[in-house]
Parts: sequence; C-alpha cells; structure tokens
Amino acid sequence: MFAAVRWFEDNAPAFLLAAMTALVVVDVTCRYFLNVAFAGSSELATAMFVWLVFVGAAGATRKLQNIAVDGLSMLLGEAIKRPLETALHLATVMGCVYVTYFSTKLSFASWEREIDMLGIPYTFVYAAIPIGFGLMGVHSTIHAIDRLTGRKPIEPAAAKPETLE
Amino acid sequence: MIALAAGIILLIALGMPIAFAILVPSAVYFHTTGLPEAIFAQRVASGTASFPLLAIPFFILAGSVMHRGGIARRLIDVAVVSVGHLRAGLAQVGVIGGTLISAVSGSATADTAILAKTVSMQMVREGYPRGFAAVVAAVSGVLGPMIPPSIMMILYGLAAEVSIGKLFVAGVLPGLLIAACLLAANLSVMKRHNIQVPLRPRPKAGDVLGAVKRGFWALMFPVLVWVGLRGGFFTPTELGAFVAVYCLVISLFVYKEIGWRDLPAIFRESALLTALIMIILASSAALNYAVAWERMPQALSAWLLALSDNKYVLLLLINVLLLVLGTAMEGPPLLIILTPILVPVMKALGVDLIHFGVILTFNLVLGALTPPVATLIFVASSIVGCTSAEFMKYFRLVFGYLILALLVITFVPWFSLVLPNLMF
Repeated sequence: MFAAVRWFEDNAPAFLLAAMTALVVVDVTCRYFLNVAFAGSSELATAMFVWLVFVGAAGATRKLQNIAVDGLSMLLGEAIKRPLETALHLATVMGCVYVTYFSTKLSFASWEREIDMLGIPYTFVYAAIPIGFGLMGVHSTIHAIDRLTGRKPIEPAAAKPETLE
Repeated sequence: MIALAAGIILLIALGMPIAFAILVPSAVYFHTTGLPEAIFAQRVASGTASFPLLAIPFFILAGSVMHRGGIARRLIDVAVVSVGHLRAGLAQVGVIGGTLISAVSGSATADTAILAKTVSMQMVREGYPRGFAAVVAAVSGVLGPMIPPSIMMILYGLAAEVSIGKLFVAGVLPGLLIAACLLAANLSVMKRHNIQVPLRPRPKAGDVLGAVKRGFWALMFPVLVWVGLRGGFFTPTELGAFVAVYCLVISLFVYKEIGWRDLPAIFRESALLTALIMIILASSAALNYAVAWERMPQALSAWLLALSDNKYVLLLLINVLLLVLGTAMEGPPLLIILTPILVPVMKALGVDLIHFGVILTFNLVLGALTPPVATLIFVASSIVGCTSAEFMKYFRLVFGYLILALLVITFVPWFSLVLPNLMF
C-alpha cells in the first residue's frame, strides 16, 4: 500500500507535467498551423496542474522536502528539538484535516458546476485538494510518531532541491 | 491580525515548512473570526486553478533541460570566445555566460551551479583565488530571475495582476545594468587584491565562428522568447510550453546530451519544484483573504505615509526591509507573501507596479547572497571548495556594486519602464 502511494506521489506529477506540456504545445500548433482549436484544452491543462501541485506536495511532505527555514531549530538541542518537531508535525496534521474536510465539501458542492466545453464536473478537479492534503496529513502523522517514539523513518528524508530561487 | 502574523513568523522561525506555517494560523484565524470556512477551501483551490500559473512548471522544465542538455555549456563557450581574452577574462566570462544563460533559465541557483562547475573551476585552474572564483558564480546567478524568462516575475505578475509579458521585457535593461556593474566589479576586485593571472590568447576567427555555430540553437532561445512575447504569438504560458519543448528537442536530437532515459528524472524534478512553490501559493491564497479582510495593506500604507510622504524615501525604506527579510527566507515564498501586502502600498505611493516588480525581484534575489539564507553562496562555495572567509574577502566589494545597481534600478524607473512602454 505504502509503495503504491509512494509510486503515485513520485510519478503522477511528472506524468501530468509531460501531458500538460504536450497538450498546450499541440493546442497552439494546431491553432496557428491547422486553424483547429481544441475546445477546453486550457481548462484540462489547468485541471492537470491542480493535481500535479497537490499530489506533488504530498510527495514532498512524505520526503520532508517542503521549503522551510532552518533558523532557530538549528540552535536547539535534541532534547528540545524532538518534542518541538513532533508538535509541529501534529499542528500540520490539524491544518491538513481542516483543509481536507472543507475542500471535500467544496468538491462535492461543485458537482453541478462543469468545466467549460468539457462537461466534466469541477468535483474531479477540486478532489485533488482533499486527496493531496489527506495524504499530507497521513505523512505528517507518521513523521510525528517517528519523532515522538524515536523510530527510524520508513523512508529517509530526501535532499531539498536547490533550484528554487 | 497581529496574532496571525506573529503565529506565522514564529512557526516559520521554528522550522515548520512555510506552506504549513501559513496554512495553520490562517485556518485558526478563519475558525476563530467566524469567516465562512467554505471560502478558505475556495481560496486554496483558486490559488492553483489558474491557466497563467502553468508558465511556472514550463519554465522550470526548460531550465532543468537546459542545464542537463548541454545548452548552458555552449552558451558559456560563446562567452569564452567573446570576453575570455580580456583582463579578468574568465571572471567576465562568468558574467557574460550568466547573462546568456539567464535568457534561457529563470533560476538563480541553477545558473550559479552551472557557472561554478564550469567557469569557476577553470578560473581556479588558471590561478584565480578560489574565493573570487566562487563569488563570480554566486553573483552572476542573480541575473537568472532578472532577465526573462523569470519564475519570480511570473509569481509577482499573477499576484499583482500586471502583465507578465511587460514584466519580462522590463527586466531586460535592469538585468544588463546589473551585468555591467558586475563586469566593473570584477575589474575592481582584480585591482584591489592585485590578482595577477596570465591573459588568455585572443581567439582566432575560426574559434569564434565554431563556438557560435555550436551554440547556434542555444543562442536562438532568447530570440524565440523575444519574438514570442513581442509578436504576441503566445501568452507567457504557451511560450513556456514551447520553450520547454524547444529545449527538449535540441538537447535530445541536436546536442544529444540527454537521452529518453533521462526524461523521467527531469520531469520528476521539475514537477517537484513546481509543487514546492505552488503549495505555498495555495496556502497564501487563504492568508491573502484574511489580509484583505483586515485591511492590512491600507493600514501599512497609512503607517508608511505617516513616516514620510516622499515616495523615494519610502522606497529606500522598503528596499532595506526587503533586504533584511531576504536574509531570512528564500525569494519565491517571500515574494508570494509580500506582494499582496506591498502592491496596494505602492499604488497609494504612485509607484508603477511593473517598476516595483523589478525592484522586488532584484531585492529578493539579493537575499540569496546574504546569510543565513544565502543559497547562492552555499552552492558556489561548496562546488568551488572555498571557505566563508575566502568568499567574503572578495564578496564585499562586489556586493557594493550590486547595491549600487539596486539603487539605480529603484530611483531611475526609466531602466525598467522604457522597453515595456516602447513595446506594448
């Protein structure tokens, strides 16, 4: 189960990025050279982007790759750092539960609203948010338990990417 | 509102990921003030569900392909035959190479890494001090977000609701001004520290032609961006997708420095970077609602205008504030948080928002050169292998030139506005 989630979080965003790129390029090429426009292509690409962001962020949370400032925490000893990090993970869990709950309601409430030209309910776009934040909440719970018990993490923290600036 | 701001600052300082440090206090704020919680979810959704935002992953992808696919190296080769034989030749190659790479990539850190691995290491081999070699790579990296395409300018344009195309064009002259300051700074460093290295031989016409020929497809890249923007053929998002595909095609089929097997890793890395930036944007969308609800920008405007009614004095104050904040946090998240707060203030002061976008971007990129969050210094120093002391010995003077460029860009709006006014 964990392996399947890990595979999904690591690969689905990459696949979506490739699909988005192809969709936009094909759409523009057809528009200029064949005078054919794909109705709803930008909406579909945007829907893919929403899924890319929230599933990708879930993967980043699992690997502890989110952007953070290593300010005060670097100065603290392990005796303080451990309960502090546990508390921060638990606060993250609470935030994720809050967003998951209200974004689930938003998703279901959007059933009647359809993406222009495609006829797909917005539920399928907004579902990325509760799924993404739900996964982030699960990963943060696991991190909190790991820190609290001193258990070795299932997956070591990955290096943070260095090309943000 | 003060409790909300204090909560965010405290959680960030304690090391909580920035996206969650914004999200958790914002959720508490919505819950305790009785704001409709459905709006919270709607704001998080609308923070990402926007077609113009797709330009960000496309330009990240283009940058990633460029660095792995041999495009950056060919651009540096062109810089070598252009200025490599002059005084401080290789240092100047770093600046000119950085300028050319910036026209393809929008990332300062990636540009610094490639310059450090190529130009700086060659500088060390030819007798330049390690500290100076690292400084050249670090400071040339700041050109990345200034010269189009720029991921930070896309983020600013969307948050400030100004044309991304105009912002891209607005960054060109300030970017060239910064490059000119860095060229002058390199000469000053050579003189101040009496660095003596043998001049490289002047390249033969065949060498120049060969470098330009090898780099032709890479040099066509800025032309594609310029024509795409100026001709109105593409929106910035469509341009981003074309640029990414252009980079993939020439790296795969012309330069053949990446293969199909490399693509999954490139796409995974680009998608991850996109998610890391965008999740902060999604969280900030809820915060921005709270900021607007509390009329915080108006309060800040009133407070600033009470200090002085001279917009240049206030711009100077804001520059100092941004430089200080930039020492503690990376540029993109800071830009996402500050833009909705500062843009209404700039409107009240009568500052052109395109001009302010350029000031804000440059200011926050400079933050990557100032400890403790000095990403560019860490990247360059670790690749070149120099200590902080060695780096700082040469850095102070160069940083002075960058501050000079910042002041000129701030107080002479012409640099930022002349091209957008001519072209749009």
